[in-house]
Amino acid sequence: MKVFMQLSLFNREGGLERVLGVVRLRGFQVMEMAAHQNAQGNALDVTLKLQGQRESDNLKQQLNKLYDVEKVEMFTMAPAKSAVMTNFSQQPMAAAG
Amino acid sequence: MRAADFVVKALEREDVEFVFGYPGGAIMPVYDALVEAKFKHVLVRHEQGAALAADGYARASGKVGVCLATSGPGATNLVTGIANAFMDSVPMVAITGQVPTHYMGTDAFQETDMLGVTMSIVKHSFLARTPEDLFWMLPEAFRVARSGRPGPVLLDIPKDVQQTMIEMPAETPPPPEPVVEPDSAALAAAIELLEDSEQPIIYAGGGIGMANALEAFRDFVEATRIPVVTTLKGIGSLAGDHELNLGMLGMHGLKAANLAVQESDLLIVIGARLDDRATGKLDTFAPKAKLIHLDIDPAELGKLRRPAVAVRGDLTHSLTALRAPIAIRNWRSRCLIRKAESAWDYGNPSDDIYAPRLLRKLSERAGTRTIISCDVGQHQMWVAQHYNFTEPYQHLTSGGLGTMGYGLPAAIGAWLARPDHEVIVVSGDGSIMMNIQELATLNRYGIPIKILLLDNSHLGLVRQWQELFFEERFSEVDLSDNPEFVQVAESFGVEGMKVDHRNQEEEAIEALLNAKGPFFLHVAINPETSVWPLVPPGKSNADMMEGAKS
Ligand SMILES: Cc1ncc(C[n+]2csc(CCOP(=O)(O)OP(=O)(O)O)c2C)c(N)n1
Repeated sequence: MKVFMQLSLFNREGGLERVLGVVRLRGFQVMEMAAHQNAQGNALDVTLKLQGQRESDNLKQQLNKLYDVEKVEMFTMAPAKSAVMTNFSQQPMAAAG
Repeated sequence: MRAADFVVKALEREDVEFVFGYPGGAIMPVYDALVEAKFKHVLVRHEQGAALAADGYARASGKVGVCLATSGPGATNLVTGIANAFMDSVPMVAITGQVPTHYMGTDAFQETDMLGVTMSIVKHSFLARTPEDLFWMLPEAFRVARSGRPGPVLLDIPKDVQQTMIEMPAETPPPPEPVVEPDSAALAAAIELLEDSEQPIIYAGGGIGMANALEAFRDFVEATRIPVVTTLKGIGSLAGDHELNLGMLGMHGLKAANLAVQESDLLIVIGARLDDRATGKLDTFAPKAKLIHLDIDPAELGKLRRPAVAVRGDLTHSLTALRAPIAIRNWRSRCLIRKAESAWDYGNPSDDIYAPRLLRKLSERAGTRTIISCDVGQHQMWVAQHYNFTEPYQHLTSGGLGTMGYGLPAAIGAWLARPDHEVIVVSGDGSIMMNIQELATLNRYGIPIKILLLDNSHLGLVRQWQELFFEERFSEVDLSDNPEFVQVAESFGVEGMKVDHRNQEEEAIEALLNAKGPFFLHVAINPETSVWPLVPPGKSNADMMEGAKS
């Protein structure tokens, strides 16, 4: 599955590295990437095109936990309905808290 | 003052009681400032000991553990302890010296890129390139370590930054921690599932104790009267002898616990992450069950198995909202009957000391003001299975990382946190050697920790796996060339005793508990004693092997 992530990072030491580390660890590869510092130099906007077999919702959650990440948005190429969990399966999520 | 003095001040402002560390070149200004510190520095004999002692302190006290090391090898020696804290969500701040800023990136003497080395095993890491960075990073490191799902934070401080003269900044109170309220729609959906369920099981993890939600959890259990299984880290969230406690689940889980989970139609997973040692083969795990998953970390919800209902938020709030009696009398009694039927038989006939029985007797004799700090291996599983804990902080164990060498340093941290407790290390002859040097720390500070060494002259757990899954081809597990442990202990100033016969079990326990200072009880056991039950790797938790109880 291919997935786009749009992240807004606080521009601090190691931020981009941490994002790429989480992407790798959680089972995705980078196909394309662009990063731009904002005019004030305090934020870095990162766009990633990724591919991987794992659940992209979880990747988004893992990225969102990073201290340097202010915001993550995700767009999948597959219709949202068919986004299934990898190996693990079973019931659909009825309510998310 | 120097920035190094600010480091000490900032630790005082965080009410730090103990810092576990080891000095060296790049952290010398901080060590100089420590001379004036209001808190105590505990000199360990290996930096891994510092990180693991900080971990044990944090688990026993509920506060942030702090460790300190120099750059390069000092810092890399902390790594195992940091990873250990990360896997088990233990709040920790690790402070490392770094080479001066103008040397950074030049492969200078004792330069290691600690930000890079630790990136995937910390909640966050800071590098203070200026003293002004330190002013906000230090309090922030503590806040991050303890907030939400706790974890370790690294703060790397170059030597020139430590030496810079500064004006002491004013103290800024930390922002209040927001309480994450559970979503009411999710709670309503969870209540509906609970009401519809006929065979529910509570799956209790380490998050319950860490979230200070023990009272709400126990009220939830009493109100619903749903049988409980615990993870390794969830042990103690409900008393071991509580009627509804079916015991630990998983690879070395108890039969009654594993079978109840496999048959259940609803699992209420609380502060747990469905670790593979607990679930066995995931797609055969609790095949009929829907999940209600409660946790503070949104990334755990649906990570491994989709919950029917995910409730993110503070566990006390969530559990209080879910409290209601439900009608499951038949199911409950089925679980409890199986628990009674599969109760452990301690009547092993051999003349050897039988480790499960010894631990059971210790548990009966030691009382509730006791902390057991385990190493890793068979002995760790026997503790989890046979010792009766009443609070999670009493059971210190390296769950996620499985760090041999954890027991002794963690016990040092735990005793400093709770000096009114009896702290007992339960170790194996492999594990004890991994941080044996910390016996010197006991002696140095007069720490009256007791060590119970279960010596099977093997790397027992690995031996057991080779026996079962590698056709008895024993490879590098024989430790019959171990030193005379009592002599080793005595040379560190720790009294000791060796026993090997079953009729010495009581006497040995009395000697251990009655010793005034630290004590080393060397117990020789039969190398062929295995841990049962055992779920083979890649198998369902329903497929437990149960060998002979010898
Ligand atoms: C640092 C580290 N190295 C290796 C292992 C793999 N390992 C797990 S249990 C074990 C054997 C432990 O032996 P011992 O401490 O004597 O305990 P026993 O199983 O005999 O009770 C080993 C080598 C580990 N968990 N940690």
